[in-house]
Amino acid sequence: MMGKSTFISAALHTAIVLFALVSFPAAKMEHMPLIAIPVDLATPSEVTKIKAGTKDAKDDAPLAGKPKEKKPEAVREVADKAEQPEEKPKAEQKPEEKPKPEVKKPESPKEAAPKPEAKKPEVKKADAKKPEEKKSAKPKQAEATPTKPKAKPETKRDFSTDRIAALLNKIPDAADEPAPVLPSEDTPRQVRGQSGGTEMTMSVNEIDALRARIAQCWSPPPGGLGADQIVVKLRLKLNEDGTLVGYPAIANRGSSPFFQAAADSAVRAVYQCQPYTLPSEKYALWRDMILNFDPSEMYRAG
Amino acid sequence: MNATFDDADPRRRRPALALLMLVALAAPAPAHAQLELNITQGTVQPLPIAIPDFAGDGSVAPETAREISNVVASDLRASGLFIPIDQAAFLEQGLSTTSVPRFDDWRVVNAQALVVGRIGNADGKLRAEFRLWDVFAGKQLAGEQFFARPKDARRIGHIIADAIYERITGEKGYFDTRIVFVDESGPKNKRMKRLAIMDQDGFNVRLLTTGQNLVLTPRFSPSTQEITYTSFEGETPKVYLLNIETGQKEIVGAFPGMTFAPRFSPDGQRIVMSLEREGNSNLFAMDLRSRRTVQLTNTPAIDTAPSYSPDGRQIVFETDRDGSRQVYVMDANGANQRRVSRGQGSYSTPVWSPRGDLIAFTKMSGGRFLIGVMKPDGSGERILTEGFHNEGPTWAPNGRVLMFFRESPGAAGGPKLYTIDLTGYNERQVATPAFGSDPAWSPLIN
Repeated sequence: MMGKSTFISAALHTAIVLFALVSFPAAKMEHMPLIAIPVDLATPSEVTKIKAGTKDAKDDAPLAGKPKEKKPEAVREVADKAEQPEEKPKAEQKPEEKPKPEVKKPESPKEAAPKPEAKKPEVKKADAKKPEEKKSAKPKQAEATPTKPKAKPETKRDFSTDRIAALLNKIPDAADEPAPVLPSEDTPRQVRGQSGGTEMTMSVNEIDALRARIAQCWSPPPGGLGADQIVVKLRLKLNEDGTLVGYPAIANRGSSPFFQAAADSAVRAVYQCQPYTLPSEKYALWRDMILNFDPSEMYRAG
Repeated sequence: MNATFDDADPRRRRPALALLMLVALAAPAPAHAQLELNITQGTVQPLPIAIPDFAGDGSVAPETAREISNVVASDLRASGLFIPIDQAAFLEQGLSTTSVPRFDDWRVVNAQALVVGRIGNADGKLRAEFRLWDVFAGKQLAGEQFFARPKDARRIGHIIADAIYERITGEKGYFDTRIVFVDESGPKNKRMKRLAIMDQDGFNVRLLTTGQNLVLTPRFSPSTQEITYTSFEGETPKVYLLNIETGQKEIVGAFPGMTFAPRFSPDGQRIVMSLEREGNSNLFAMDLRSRRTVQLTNTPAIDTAPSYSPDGRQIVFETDRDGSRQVYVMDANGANQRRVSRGQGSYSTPVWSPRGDLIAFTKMSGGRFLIGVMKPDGSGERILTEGFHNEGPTWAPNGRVLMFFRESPGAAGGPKLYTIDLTGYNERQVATPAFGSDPAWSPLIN
């Protein structure tokens, strides 16, 4: 009898130890997502945002296959070289290209001059005199932002672009509301607390809101044959107030004639959208980011 | 650490998050992570562009300068891809092509692009220069200078509009082009039909024939110097070749029967057309240099409306060999004939797009006439417009816009020319002096 109960006891203990061994790593893993996910559901406004995001996702889902394949390629191409140096050759190229048609006449040297002037002051301002840039940038945006909502309905009325937009733009109306919804103040604290104060990520809401915001500003060129294959990779740096630092760098290249047009449209979007309203306590995460502008799904829809 | 947030599908988001967490666990967090986002959605809308009146430099009347900037603005507006901003909103006045604009002033009025131009006189010629600025980025996108005869002032506007269009969209423009069409005047039962040519925007109309004989289906040669068309001059309708500059005219080929529906090959060396005999019509191609003719189809049916693919290797045409009119494609030598139209109804007047990706057609279905496009294999059919009677699409040289004619019902009704772009939304009427039909778009004029 004693032997039997000892045996049962030993068996049970072994089972418990085995169970613990097997299930602990799993338990740990499950623990991690739990940290992040409840955070997204903190306020009612965020719930609204999540709904908008989910709607968005439904449309994307069946089409998501291709862009996914493509993007890594585009990213790979440039991931290594990318960064800032790329911007300089670009800037140099342009002045070279333009004077050509103008060489025809004697005045052209004079006139060619303003071009570099026009560009350089802007770039320099941004790079060198940061404090000044911030000051001067703010009023600009303050002016620009109020005009935007006005302009939108206007453009939609003309040329029945509202119908084009409705057709091509899959972002539901809810997502068109400006002012991206951001987590309440305690959200980041939770994240920081549970992950030992070092782990911080942008929540899915924040990402979606940023994406929806840029979608409002981005009007990709109508394109021609093969234009849907063009992905433009922009690297932008932001000030803490959400304004751009300097000129966004185009971090990839394309041989297609549509690339320049596509790159310009992306840069315009990024300029027009500023300032970005992003959680200031996560500034370290968004101060320097990369945006891949990929119109393939939009063209397919059209 | 690069964290890529992909689309917001929760099913895919969760593994992505889990993966992120794993990565976070595995490696100590770096000083700062770089956020990477994929932007897959945008809002397609016309680009707000500011086009202040071009300045005259004193040697040219201000009206001439203003007319040129007006041409630029109306071309861009008509494309549906730009919205010229009301000049009353402009803050900065007196812009010069030699100085940098105050971009802040233009951002305030929500202009994304700005065109500054100056017109002058140089040795009896017009000298036009313009600069295109990106307002948000504060940089110049294009800057060019042209010389032209004073009477070509409007053409300068079209050329500048093409340059702007090309720089912003990445595709070739189509504003410096012409349209040849059939000008129709007089009452419906006694209509006079004359060949006419005009600029793409309806200006500078010039009549090419006197109206004594009925004319049909004019088509441009790739050089834009010649047109081919069907005329009822003799006893039977014949295909003619007309040099627009010299007025020289000749019959194409010495065929016994009626010839019609001609069209040039993309290299301009051949004309493909229909020849009718005993109720049947078959397709023939004639080499314009050797005058040698090759028969391409041989069926007891009506084969007509042939149109070459831009590489010249294939021909799309219309035939009723299956009972109703349908669209067929074959090799340029007549081999490999196959039906590509699949939908309900009958299909006619197919035209291959200059960029090769689409075939435009007229479709009759349920008593309506539709203009649509399909891929060369017949898939992806899309209807762009419909109405009481639409017919005869012709492509703009960049393959983004179609022109066609629409007939209005009733005794006072008649055909008018319209354009529509590939989205199917930007439909516009083209002004003509009287009624107009059978338009054909020229290639870009050089």
